[in-house]
Amino acid sequence: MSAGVRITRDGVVAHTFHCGPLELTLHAPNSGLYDKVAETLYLYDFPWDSPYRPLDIWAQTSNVLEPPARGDFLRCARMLVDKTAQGLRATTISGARAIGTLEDTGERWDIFVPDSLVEEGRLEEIEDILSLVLTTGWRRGGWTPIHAAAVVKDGTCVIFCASTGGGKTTMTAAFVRRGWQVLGDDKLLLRVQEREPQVAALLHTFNLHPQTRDWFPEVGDLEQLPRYSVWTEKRKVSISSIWSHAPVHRARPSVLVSLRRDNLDVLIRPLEQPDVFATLLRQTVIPNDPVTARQIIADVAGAAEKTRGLQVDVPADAYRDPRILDALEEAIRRNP
Amino acid sequence: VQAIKLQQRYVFRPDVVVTLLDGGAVLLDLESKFFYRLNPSGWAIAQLFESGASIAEVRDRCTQLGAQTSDTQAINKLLQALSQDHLIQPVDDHGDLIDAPQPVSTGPWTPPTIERQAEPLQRVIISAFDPSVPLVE
Repeated sequence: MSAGVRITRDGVVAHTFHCGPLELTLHAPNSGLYDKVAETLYLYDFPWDSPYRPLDIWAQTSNVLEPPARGDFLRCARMLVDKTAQGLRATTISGARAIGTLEDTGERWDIFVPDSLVEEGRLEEIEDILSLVLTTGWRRGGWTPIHAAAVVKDGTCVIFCASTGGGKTTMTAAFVRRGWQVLGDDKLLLRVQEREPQVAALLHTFNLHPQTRDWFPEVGDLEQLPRYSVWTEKRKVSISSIWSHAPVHRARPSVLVSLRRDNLDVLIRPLEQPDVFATLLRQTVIPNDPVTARQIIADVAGAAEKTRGLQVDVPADAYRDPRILDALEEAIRRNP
Repeated sequence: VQAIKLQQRYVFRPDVVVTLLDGGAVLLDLESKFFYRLNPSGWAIAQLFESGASIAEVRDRCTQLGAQTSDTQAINKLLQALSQDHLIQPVDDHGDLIDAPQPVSTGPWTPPTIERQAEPLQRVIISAFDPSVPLVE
């Protein structure tokens, strides 16, 4: 844990994190709840190279029952979010809730979690709430979160798009082993300024499946590490602990690769620009709010306009075969 | 044009978001989660609904842009698509019109097209960061 923890007389811990363009201060009782929120925020905690937006989170336990949100802003598997006069209101399926007060100069979020969830360690829904807090803050700071990976080498930045479990992390790791640097394997920020798109790193970890060792022995025995969520076998691993050359913070995207697993053959074909746009759009969350949606779509359209696209079908075991990766690198580097 | 009246004025529904792309535009319907691609001439027509326009005004505009009689079917098809998928809605003649910029030229006239993406964006997603379909838990 980085420096800066303060404990007040009433036992509330205050700690500041830097999560992308947000300077986020967490206030919570010194308990399992604080640990869980801090653990999630710590994953995003590294310096950003431009001014921060302030954001405060006040987290506490509460057994007060409130009616569930309708989901008119966002509908997630375990969380519904409504727009309110002050900002946003979210509820989760197990009774946690959050109230976001959004102002021009920053945001405040009050998070309430039932005692039972804290006592039983069932805190996955806190991750859902924090995901809402962070993505809202990043968008209000002018960035669009995208669920994609990105690597860069010699001025060529490739965004890998695929659905969850579609091979983004493995392909990213395969490229890193070939000397590419990485912005992230799963989460990035995107913006367009003066018609130039830019992607920025958010995390300094990879989400690696223990099976990755079959292809890349240097990752070691990941079974020894704790699973980061009950919903996945994957483990969070520090990128620089395995590939010290790899982390990079910003790049201008030039190629988008839409990855699809295929059991048979490798297929690499160009994507038309509208398909690049559609692919990237499917990697972003678009809330049911026209103002928010407009900014997201403008960023995606601006990036798509400057990005060449490739559709790549790869067999599950493609990462063993350097010829496949050679062919993909050649297609990426080829001029349009 | 079926289901829409010639002199009635229409505007885009408030939850239809428009973005310019590649000379044309993309419309995203936040309610249905479908998005639509318009070619430049399609956008030249559809942009009239940002401020409000009647079908008669749209047809006049098409003629100004260079549409021929042979384009009538393509124009009607586009208007029908906008109407059938409820991307546009009737507007009160005495109000509700939006003060929008004048329509801009979108290049040489070609038959207008509108293409709806086969699959809508997900209505329910994994998390506020991950737009994938939730796994069964």
